[in-house]
Amino acid sequence: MRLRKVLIENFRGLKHLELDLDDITILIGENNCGKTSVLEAIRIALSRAAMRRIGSFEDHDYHLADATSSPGDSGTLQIILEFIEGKQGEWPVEVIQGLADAVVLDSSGLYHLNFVLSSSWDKSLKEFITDWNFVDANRKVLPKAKRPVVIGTLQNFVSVFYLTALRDAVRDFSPKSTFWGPFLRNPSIPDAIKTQLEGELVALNDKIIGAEQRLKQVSNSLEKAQKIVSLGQKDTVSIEAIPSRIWDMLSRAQVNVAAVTGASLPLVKHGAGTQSLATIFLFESFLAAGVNKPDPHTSFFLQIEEPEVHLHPSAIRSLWPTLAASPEQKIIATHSGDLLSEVPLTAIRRLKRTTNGVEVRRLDPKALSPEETRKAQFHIRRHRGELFFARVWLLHEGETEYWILSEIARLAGIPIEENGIRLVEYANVGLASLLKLADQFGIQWHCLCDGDQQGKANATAASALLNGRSAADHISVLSEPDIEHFLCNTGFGGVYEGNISSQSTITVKPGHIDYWPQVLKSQQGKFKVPCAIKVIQAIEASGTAAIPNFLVQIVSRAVALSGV
Amino acid sequence: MSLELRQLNESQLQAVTWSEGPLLVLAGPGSGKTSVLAHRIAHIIGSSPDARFRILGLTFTNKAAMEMRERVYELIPSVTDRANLTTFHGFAADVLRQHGSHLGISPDFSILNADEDRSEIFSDAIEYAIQRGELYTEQDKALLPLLTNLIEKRVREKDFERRIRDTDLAFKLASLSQLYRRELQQHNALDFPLLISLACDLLSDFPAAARHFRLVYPQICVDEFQDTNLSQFELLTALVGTDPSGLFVVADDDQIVYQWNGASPERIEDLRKKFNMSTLELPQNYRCPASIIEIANNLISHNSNRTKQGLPVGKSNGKGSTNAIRALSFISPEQEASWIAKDIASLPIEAREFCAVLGRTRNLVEGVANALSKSGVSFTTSVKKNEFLSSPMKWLHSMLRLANARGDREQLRKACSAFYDLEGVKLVPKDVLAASSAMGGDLFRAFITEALARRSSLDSECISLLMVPAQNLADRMQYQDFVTKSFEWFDVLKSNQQSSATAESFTDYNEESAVWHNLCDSICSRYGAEDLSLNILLQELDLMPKQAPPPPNAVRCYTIHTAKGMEFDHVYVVGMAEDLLPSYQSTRRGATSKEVEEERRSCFVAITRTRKTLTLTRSLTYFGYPKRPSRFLTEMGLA
Repeated sequence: MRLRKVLIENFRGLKHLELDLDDITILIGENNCGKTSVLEAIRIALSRAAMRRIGSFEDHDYHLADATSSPGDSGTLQIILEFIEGKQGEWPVEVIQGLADAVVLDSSGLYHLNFVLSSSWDKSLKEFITDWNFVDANRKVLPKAKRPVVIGTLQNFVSVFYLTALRDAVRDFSPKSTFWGPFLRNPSIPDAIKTQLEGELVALNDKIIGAEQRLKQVSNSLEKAQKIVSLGQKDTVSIEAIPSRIWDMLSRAQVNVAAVTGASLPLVKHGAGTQSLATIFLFESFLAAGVNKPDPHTSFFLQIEEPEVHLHPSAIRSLWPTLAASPEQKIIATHSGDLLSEVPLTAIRRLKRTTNGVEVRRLDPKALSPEETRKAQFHIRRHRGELFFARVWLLHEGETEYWILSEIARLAGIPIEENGIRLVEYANVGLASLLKLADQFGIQWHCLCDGDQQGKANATAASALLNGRSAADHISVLSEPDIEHFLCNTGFGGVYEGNISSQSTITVKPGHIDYWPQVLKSQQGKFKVPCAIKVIQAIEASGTAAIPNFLVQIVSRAVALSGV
Repeated sequence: MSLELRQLNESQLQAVTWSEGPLLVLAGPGSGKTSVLAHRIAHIIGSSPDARFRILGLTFTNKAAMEMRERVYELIPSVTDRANLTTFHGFAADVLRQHGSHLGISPDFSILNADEDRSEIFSDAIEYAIQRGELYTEQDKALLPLLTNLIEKRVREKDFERRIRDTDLAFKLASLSQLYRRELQQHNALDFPLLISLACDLLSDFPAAARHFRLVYPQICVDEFQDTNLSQFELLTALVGTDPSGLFVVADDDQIVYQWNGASPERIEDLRKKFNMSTLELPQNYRCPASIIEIANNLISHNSNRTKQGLPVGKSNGKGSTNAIRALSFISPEQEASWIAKDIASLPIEAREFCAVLGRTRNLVEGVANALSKSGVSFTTSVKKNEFLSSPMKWLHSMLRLANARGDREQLRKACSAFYDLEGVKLVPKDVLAASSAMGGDLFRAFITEALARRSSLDSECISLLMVPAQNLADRMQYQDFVTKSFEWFDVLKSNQQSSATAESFTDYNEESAVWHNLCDSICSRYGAEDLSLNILLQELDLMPKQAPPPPNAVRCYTIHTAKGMEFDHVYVVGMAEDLLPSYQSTRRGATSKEVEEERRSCFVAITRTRKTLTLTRSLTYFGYPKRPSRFLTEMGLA
């Protein structure tokens, strides 16, 4: 049974949010945009707390519209979960039988299960009151499903496991841990072997104690206590060097991992990265072992928050196959571009805070052609996963513009990182595909196009994607054919005049319309990037007043867009 | 979980443990068929403890469903969620609640169980149409029974023409049917015939829904199949689909007494052929003394259209004296009645509740009831009651229904009239309606507001009821407090008004409030009191009869139809005369007509209710005319 749609209203920072879920869904977005709230909302809705009338939520769970409002003012907190069959017969018969009164059918005969959890302030009781229901397609309550046994059955069939960002091997590998505990508590050792082992443990204990004469003496003198106070039958005093029962033995089990030196060290003595990774793999084997599965038809719903924590980028990338391999439905919240580089584009949901609340953006598989998708997969997702975390893409032709734009921003004191601006080269991918991709994910963009024929074609293509947005805010076109001509015309020609190859001769005087074109044609070697760097150095030497205004404007526009 | 099956006889055991496809069990009276059904359900559940499928047990009446629930619960108290034991109507309501959205039905619909409510809505529909200038007349309001008949026969609107020769009438009925359905939809209500009919439509037009119920209920048990009418049979057919392997049907064609309601002896044969069912008979009678079995066999052998052709009803295991049967005649119906009363009065008082006086018509039975009354013997006549009649209960029920359907004018009218009876404060439905426009058409809130506006004329209990509890009901559909506080208010009213004129409104109150609590307790035990929503409570109440349980030591005075499925130590059948049993209407159709055969089955049902003694009485005259002894007396070998 898979969760396909989530609707959240008035929960923590989320006024209204709708989210579609795939088998694997990756949530990205800036800090504080509500990723954790989404995970928490789903977890609460599928937990025992959902069944309580009072106290299912804490005060801070109720959305606060502004600084002066108090919990409950914003209206009913609501979490709606929709489980939908992907194809007929997907849900096991036992699931349908167990939830017989709660499921409904859509017009194509696919099963839906719609669960609504709502909580609001009751003026007369002076309490937050929580209520739950199963509803039909029109959100009308299905009265026969309103029985505790039905919600219990749902929770039986869908088990949520939440691996928070704060992983701690000491806690996660303790006998009380959700994931490690079951392995220790319910060993699958056959009874005969267990009895034999326990016998051997007792014998071994006796040997150890017997070998240490001083312990034997302690034991004997303690026996005397029995003569003074009546304690029990025989053998009142025993010293256990090792536990004599299997469960007791196992509860002390600890995981050792060989360190680089070859010495076997307890896991908790390893670095944070190893501990974090170990916890994730423990989670994995917990699921694989099927311990705690309340029913053979139970589906796990896994929530993993920031699996990348403490991990080296290569480790993050190699984590993906593990995460992807298990058949359970997953939702992963991440800040890692390295993780995204392994993920299909369609799995990504980008959460973005807007003036109207939090918006969820995703790639519509039809928005890009297969060729465009392939390029985007390769150049952007594969190599620059971090771009999906940007607020604004400042798109430019090639490497020269990269140096010019980033350095000019630095020199002009415009903090582009802080504003979530990333420079994106479009020569290889194609400008239009990138703009479409940005629009799909709700990323703002500004592009710089050359003034030559190809550049103008790019600008035209970009204009076609404006959809009513202002051209000035999004597209800048050089008045010159390319950036080098532009730099020559804005006072940095000297850099290029110093790089003319000895075989070339310039046939016109400075000031002539063909002068700079001839200079640029006569450059020696791979000159573009080295010259650009020289231009930057020249600006640095002569002060910010020398920065061409056109370029400052481009960066400033990008900054302005980051606030949209 | 193992089940005690040893008390069953061989054929009962065979039926209980049957697993070779669809089975039709032909069971005579007193053969323990209810017990077989209950054991089978318990057996299936008990032998599949880890499975989640459910068993659907369909019965004809609520009483039978309730009895079945009790029996199954006795056998396996731990499992309650795996058997859905309900009536055809109850199941149809389940179907429509869950999947009705595909037909534009909202799951919180209410069920019209009173004929006057149906007529009212039908009349309203016609009046609105007349106001719109459509060509209907006042006389068309009389067409509801005809329309109902078509719906129950599962004739779709487009096929009316083929059933009714008068083309104009057929056309009119089709458009009236649409008007009526639209009007019901406005009220978010359904009536009994449509409940079944729409459930049939849904299951046949929307196969996924039928598949759903087949997955959930791979085992379907039907009790008293002989009494199902055509639309109920279609509902069963749509549900079973092409895989009848889990179908288990209990029937006795010798007991068909609902022919007037669409039941027919051929239907059992249709069923058997349609699903290629194996047949098993439960011939052993555990109820009746041997001599009664013998006369019952004599009697029923005169019917031609029998499934158990040529087979005896069975040997009796019954005990009792050989002279268990008396046949007596009297000069007049009065003497007949008073003799019976005297005879029963001579029995020990604790034996009387096991006595039944049965008659073909209510009239006959009432004659004896009067005589019993004169002799100081307590009795019950079990008049079926669909609605509460005392003003307090009427007010409570209509207010709850109004809270559930905030725009229901019919309930508003009832609430206003009952409120006047209780508090003497006249709220005019029209004024409440006007006030509701400021509240989004919420008639419940408008009623509360209008009533509180007259606060000075109200009792303090009434005011406090209308403050917080009514508000909680309006805001959050929390009705429990409202109900509790209503009863507190009623009790205060009752003690104040013992002598006043309005005491009349409380005539049936004690009895009805007891019925209310009984019904609510039984519904709560099925759904769990905490989570029983108002909507479900009302829907379940709509499906249940509201008459009171009989008083202690009361002689049962029932019509033969009412007595179906029951058994008594001492049975008195009155009016064993021609034109009464068999009825005049049936004999007019000829001695071998199916009408006379149904009368014969009625007589068969009546005499096979007997555990110990049977007394058949007749008067030489009825209604001033001499009447010959019933032919059935001869057929039984008693004349």
